Amino acid sequence: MTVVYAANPPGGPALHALVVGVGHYPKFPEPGLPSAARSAVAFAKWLIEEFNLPSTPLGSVELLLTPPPVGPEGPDPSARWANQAVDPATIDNFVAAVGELTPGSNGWLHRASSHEDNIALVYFCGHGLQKGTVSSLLFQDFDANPLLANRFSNALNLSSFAEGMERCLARRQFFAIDACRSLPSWLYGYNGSLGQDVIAPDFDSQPVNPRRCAVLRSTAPSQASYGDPVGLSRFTQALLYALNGPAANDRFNPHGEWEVWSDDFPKVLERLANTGVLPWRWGASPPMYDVSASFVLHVPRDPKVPVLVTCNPPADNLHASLRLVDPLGETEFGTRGPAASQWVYDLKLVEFCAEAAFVNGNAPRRSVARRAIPPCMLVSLE
Amino acid sequence: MSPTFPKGSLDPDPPQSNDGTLKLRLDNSAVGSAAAIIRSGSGVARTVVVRGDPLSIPVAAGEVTVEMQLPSGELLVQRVDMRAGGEEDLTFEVDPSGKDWLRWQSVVSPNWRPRGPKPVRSSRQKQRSIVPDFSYEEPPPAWRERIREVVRVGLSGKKRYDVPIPVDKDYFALLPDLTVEGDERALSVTFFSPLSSSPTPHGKTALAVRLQPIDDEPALTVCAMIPSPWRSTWGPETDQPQRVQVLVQAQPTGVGGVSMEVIIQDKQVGPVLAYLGTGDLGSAGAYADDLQHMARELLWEKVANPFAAAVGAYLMLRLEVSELSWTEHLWRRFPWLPDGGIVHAAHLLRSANRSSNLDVVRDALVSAAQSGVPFFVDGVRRLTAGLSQIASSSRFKGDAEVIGALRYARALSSATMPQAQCTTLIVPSERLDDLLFGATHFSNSQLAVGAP
Repeated sequence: MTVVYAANPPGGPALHALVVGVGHYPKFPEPGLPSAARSAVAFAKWLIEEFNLPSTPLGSVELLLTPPPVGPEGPDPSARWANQAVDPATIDNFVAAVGELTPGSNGWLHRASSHEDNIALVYFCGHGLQKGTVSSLLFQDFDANPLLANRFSNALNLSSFAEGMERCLARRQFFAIDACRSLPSWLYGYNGSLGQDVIAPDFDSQPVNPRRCAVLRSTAPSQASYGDPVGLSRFTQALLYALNGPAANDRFNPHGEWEVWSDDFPKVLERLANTGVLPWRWGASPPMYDVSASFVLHVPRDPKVPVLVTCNPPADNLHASLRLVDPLGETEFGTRGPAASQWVYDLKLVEFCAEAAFVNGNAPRRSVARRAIPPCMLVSLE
Repeated sequence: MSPTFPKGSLDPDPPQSNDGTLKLRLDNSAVGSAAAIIRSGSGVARTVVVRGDPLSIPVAAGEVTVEMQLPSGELLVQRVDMRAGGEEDLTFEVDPSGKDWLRWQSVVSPNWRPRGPKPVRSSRQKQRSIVPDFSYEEPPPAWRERIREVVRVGLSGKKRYDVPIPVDKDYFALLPDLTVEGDERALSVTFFSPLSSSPTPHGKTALAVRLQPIDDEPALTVCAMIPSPWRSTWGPETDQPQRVQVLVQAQPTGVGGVSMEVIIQDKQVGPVLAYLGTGDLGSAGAYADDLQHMARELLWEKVANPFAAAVGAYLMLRLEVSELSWTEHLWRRFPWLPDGGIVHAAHLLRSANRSSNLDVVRDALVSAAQSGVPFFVDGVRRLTAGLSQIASSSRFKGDAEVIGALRYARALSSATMPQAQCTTLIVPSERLDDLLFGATHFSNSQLAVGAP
């Protein structure tokens, strides 16, 4: 067990996270996933450094991490947890990290069950499979040998695990699962278990109040999820970016405060991809929920949203200097010289004025006033 | 905990003197409706349902932003500068597919959303209607009790066909539309009713469709539940029959290169099903009042669409609104509908006194599993989750019916396409009939052997 963050002293409602990154599968003929380890490290760091929910502060972060093998350039520092040894992401370590609900246990499940108003959070990045509505997450020691009696003994049956989490006292639960959901042809005829349940349901000991559980997936059913050879996975990169502002909304806050709700991510991530803020499109595999529930997950301290500025016609971008200023023109937020593409600038949620000044001084200056609101702003200077 | 979210309500604040009027409209009569969030310079953002007719909304003067969340998951954003006392029209044009015949599907279903560059529409794309190359065939032995027709459809060329089904009208009075866009392969399409009792007084409706690519390896079959007959639930068309379309299309990612989806063209419930499918509760919640009203009408027998009531009950579950009165009615009044028992049990399991209702929960879930395949994917998930809970209770430990029902539900779960709106199974062809006819039939099947 590797708890990389623990609030001191604990008490009151809190968010307890279990973060897993599997960057290497020694017994699985699929390619390694260096971005999975890096993504888990980045997500854990984000929780520790940027997560903010005043009613439910961060309580603990437990991390299981299998870094990719050391290459000729030496170990990848962004795929390792600095200053502390971390247990590898094997299924046994996962079972131990989850722990028991029994008194005296110090596992994640016990911590998450310390208060009804807690949030229990699971993040997983690694290989995955899906058959029907049943998902399987593969751990470091997953063995694809078809002669094994139980090929999925080193995997987690995510669907059963989520059902078993009904026993956890935390009535808000959020799962962010960054893994493929493809169905290999041999699974069509496979009739056995798709992984360990880890938490068995027990109706008699379940909390009375209903839970809200959202399971956010990085990709659509039967689709692959994508990593990056040198960076984070696409989904985690987009998720972390969205958490810091683009996913915020003020729909349900009576004071107009910008909050990130647990059920808003897919449409925001799609919007960011479709407008060109993210350097890819999700194609046939957009992020989506297995099940969704609605609760406030995060309140960005200083939310920023991407503002996309372009001249119309776009060819004018080649001759225009662009800048963003406050409406009175007193504070300059950012500038960009002539370029072929649109300009993307992350701006706080303020009123602003976008301006285009042309290199050829004879062309009139163009200007548009707006208010920056999530998920992103498109500004066309005509 | 966070307060329960007030989704879907219009801003209750009375109009102010500096308000203008925003007229919102959805420019696609085929789609019917979509949820939109309105943000004005002052005041709290609000969510509304926008339809084909303009919706007039008072908003504060200043910059107003409207986000329209399409049921397919696409987000459209427009803004307008509102003058005090002024009136502004804002029309959302929804025409993403480039194909007239996919206008509805591409907006309500993520599966049919166009991706990448927007295709160019051609006004010459005409609907073709042909008599397919069909033949009657003998149903499989296990199905003879329930099937009268097996239609084998032969396709040629990359064309789209609305296929007139050559049915025996004495048996099937109501059939969905079958639309096929295919390539050169033969398909066997079969309409039948897998239910033990009939949902209509005269017993003439098809409730499932089986699609089997012929000569494909491995031999897999796709089978979808069809909530039919479907009657409109909203507006002047209430209780009028609505189109339910079975859409078959050649797709590389489909089984045997073919995919199938059942689309309900109901302007009210269609978008809700899609929102629930993508997990967008904020948008689905905008329809909550209308669906609650519809479901209560069902309770008083004023409308006659139990499928739509089940969708309403699933929505209320997600929105954490207890609806025990009409879910119990749905279960007891329509025992052939598995979703009725499932959704009633799910509401009971969320209630504070669920322990005292455990016998009812058990009966509702077991009877649902014995009725057959739920019509909606949410039902498959909730059947498995509910039975899993019940089986773990000391009260029903070792209960053979509960154990059998849970094994059946798990087998269904691992065969159900999660992205479909109506339950769609993909299974090896020889095992389909093990799953179709409920938990009791399943217990005696080969598929039950070795099932977890």
